[in-house]
This record gives sequence, C-alpha cells and structure tokens, in this order.
Amino acid sequence: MTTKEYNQCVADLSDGIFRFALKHLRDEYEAENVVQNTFEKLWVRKENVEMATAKAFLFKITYNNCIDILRKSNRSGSLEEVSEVHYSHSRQYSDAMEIVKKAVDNLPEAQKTAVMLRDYEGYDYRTIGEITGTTEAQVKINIFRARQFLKKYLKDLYAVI
Amino acid sequence: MTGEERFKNQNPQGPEWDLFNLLEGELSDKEAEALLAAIEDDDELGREWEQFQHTVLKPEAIVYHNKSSLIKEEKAGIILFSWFSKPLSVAAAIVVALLISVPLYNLFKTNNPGTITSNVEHSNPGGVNDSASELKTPENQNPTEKEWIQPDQNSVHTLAKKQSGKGRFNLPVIPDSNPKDSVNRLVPAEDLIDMPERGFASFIPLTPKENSMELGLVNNELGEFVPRTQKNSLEFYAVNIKEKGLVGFMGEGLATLTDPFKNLNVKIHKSKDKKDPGLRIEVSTEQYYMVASVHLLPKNDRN
Repeated sequence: MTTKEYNQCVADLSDGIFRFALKHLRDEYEAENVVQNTFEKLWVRKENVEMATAKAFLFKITYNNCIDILRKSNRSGSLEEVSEVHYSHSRQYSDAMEIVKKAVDNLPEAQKTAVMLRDYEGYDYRTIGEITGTTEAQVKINIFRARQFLKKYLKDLYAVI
Repeated sequence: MTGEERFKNQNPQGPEWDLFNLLEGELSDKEAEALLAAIEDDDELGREWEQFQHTVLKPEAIVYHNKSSLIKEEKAGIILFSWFSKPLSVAAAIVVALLISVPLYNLFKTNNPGTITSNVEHSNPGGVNDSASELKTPENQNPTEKEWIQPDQNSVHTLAKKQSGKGRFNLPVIPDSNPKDSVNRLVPAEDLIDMPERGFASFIPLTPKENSMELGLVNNELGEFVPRTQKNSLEFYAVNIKEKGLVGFMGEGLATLTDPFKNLNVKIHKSKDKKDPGLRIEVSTEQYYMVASVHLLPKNDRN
C-alpha cells in the first residue's frame, strides 16, 4: 500500500472505524484513541497490507482494541442484562430507528459487532468471521439473535406505548 | 389456516428464522416467494416481518473530525529533487538544508545547549567526512563533542549510536507492545518508513530491535538509487524520539516539528575530503533528531 492509498483509507474509512469504536465503547475520547491507534498500525504495516484488504484489516484491529478496552473496564453487555429499565428509558424515542439504535447498546458485544459490520459495512458472514475470529455459522447465529432481540425490543416497547 | 401456520408447516424451524433469512437474502427465489405470499395472507406474520425489517441498522452520519492528524504527507520534497539535473539537485539540496536548519537554529536556539538529552555522537557519514570538522554556527553555540551527553543504552532517547566504521545510524528501539498483538511486534525499519515508488532508501536490519538505515537521493539521470556513499546523494531524516518512530524526510519531517523546542542543537560538519566534499547537518532537540547530509559533486564530475 502506498502513502496515497493509506491516505485514501483515512478519507474513506475513518468515519466508519470511528462509528464502530464509538458504538462499542460509548466514549468519544476512547473511540478517538482507538481510531488513532488503528490507523497507526495500518501505517506501520502498510507495506504488507493490500488496499483490497485494508478495510477488513482496520476493522479487525478496531474490534480487538475495543474488546481489550471493554474487557479491562468490564463493560461488555450481555443479553441477560437487558432489563425493564432499558425499556422504560426508551419511551422517549419516537421512531423505530431511534429505538433500535438505543437497543443495540444492550446487545452482547459479539452480536453487536456482527450486526453492525453486516448493516453498516455490508460485510458477508465470512468476512465478519475473519474480523471477529468466529465461524460463518456463529456469525449468522449472532446476527439472528441480535435481530431477534431488536425485534422483541421494538415489539415490547410498542406494546407498552 | 393462517399464512404463518402454513409457513410453519412448511418449515419446522419456525417463522422467525425464515423471516430472518428472507431479510438477509439467504432464501432461494422459490422460498422467498412462498414466504412473501404467506406474509401477504397473514396480518400477524406481516407485522412480524415489518418489525424484522426495522432491525436493519441504518448508517448514522458519524464523522471523525480529526482525519488530518492521520494523513501522511507524500514525499514530494524528495521527488522534487529528482526532477533536477545532477548539479542542480545538489545545489538545491544544499540550499534547502541550509534554509531549513539555520533559521531553525536561530529560532529555537537555547542558551543551554549542553543539556541536550539525545545522545548524538559525532557523525561519520560514509564517504563524506571521516575527517569532518564542525563549521561555526551562528553565535558559535555548537557544543563540542564532550558537551554531548553520553548515551544511555536503556533509554528511549538512545537514538544515534553510530555503527562503528559503517557510518550508519541505528533507529531507536521499537518496543514490544501487547504480546497478543502480532501487528505491532518487532516492527522492522522498513515498516516505519514510506518508500516512494522510485525508491530512495535502503535499510539494513541489524538485530530485530535495532535497525539502521541510509538514505540517498534519486538520481534523475541514472534513474536509480544513489547510495549515501556515492556522489550527488542527499540524506535527511527526522525521528521523534519520544514516540520512538520516524517522522519523515525533508519537509515532512520539519513540518512536523511544531512542538516547543527545548535544548535545540545544530551541528554542521564540513567534509575535508576533497574527493567527496559535503555537509552534514544535525539538528536535535529533546524530542527530535534530524540529520541531513549533502554530498557535493566534485567539480571535475559536474556537467
């Protein structure tokens, strides 16, 4: 990868990387650090990274960074942690998209990662598996469970409203 | 029988899995058609389908505003020199080196030059000035060799240990990061430096943690790398000592030097070797170390 290609990656992918980190960490400062760290690693390794694989490379680094940070701070969510409190907080949101955005925060990290890479980045199951170190089947199940949860979240909320 | 029940009968895994597969585009045309027909027939299944469709995340307009900090400059400065003929490139190199180093010196000079923390040794740029002598810089503020603090081998400031007899400089030690992180472990010198397509640098790894490099100027006429030991070559690089990484070459390296300078020192060496005349300029601060060497083309070789 040349310097020009690296800069192209910055221009094209830094927003997505930042969004991905921000959604996981829910902390702008930490997310910015992850972006800096991720692109620094790309820069250091750019001779060995092809332009075609740069996006997956960046997301993999970002994912690993986020997981490390979340583990250290013991912040990762789980499905069991979703409580009525979360539902009640969501009443203020008026449309489904806002509700779903809020609900995504309550997903376990593996499901959140999978569904975000699928919907935001348009990755197939295989690539998501490569980024997260899981099988295609696991990725599909994670996305299914994430959508199941989001659907139930929406359904229950509408029932309350 | 409702549409959902009909579909359940066709697929014992239940409608959610099928709706999910429909959403994901994982069903065959025939399966998708059957499910859509079922959805059409059954209000409850239709609502389920509608809710499933809402689970697709829509990209949010989140912008990373600090892109400029990630952008790396392309090496226009070096390439520029390759456009010149031999004598012009050498002349331009000298002019640039002097233009950038002397004002820097004047701008950032300190009254306490002997307290510099980097351990720059007297240079021995291969082929330039084995018998080099220092030129007097403005106000004669250059420290003598004895005034330079001796190397601390364990310090991150350890930077410019001259490899005896070879006239090369070792880059700072690149530390191991997270052992689990295979990306940033034992970064070779090659990864630290952007090599332009035409190539003007070569790197000689010494040990996994200790690398040396030499830079040269692309010879426009010959179109190939001109090693430092040859005539008509230019070397210049800057290192961020605290960050332990190469900053860049030429203008890029200098442009990065925006932090407050502390204990700046400039050393200019002139080669006494008439066969290989040249200048070597060292600029160092607490944070940065830069060096530029200009090899002059002997008169009888000039076009």
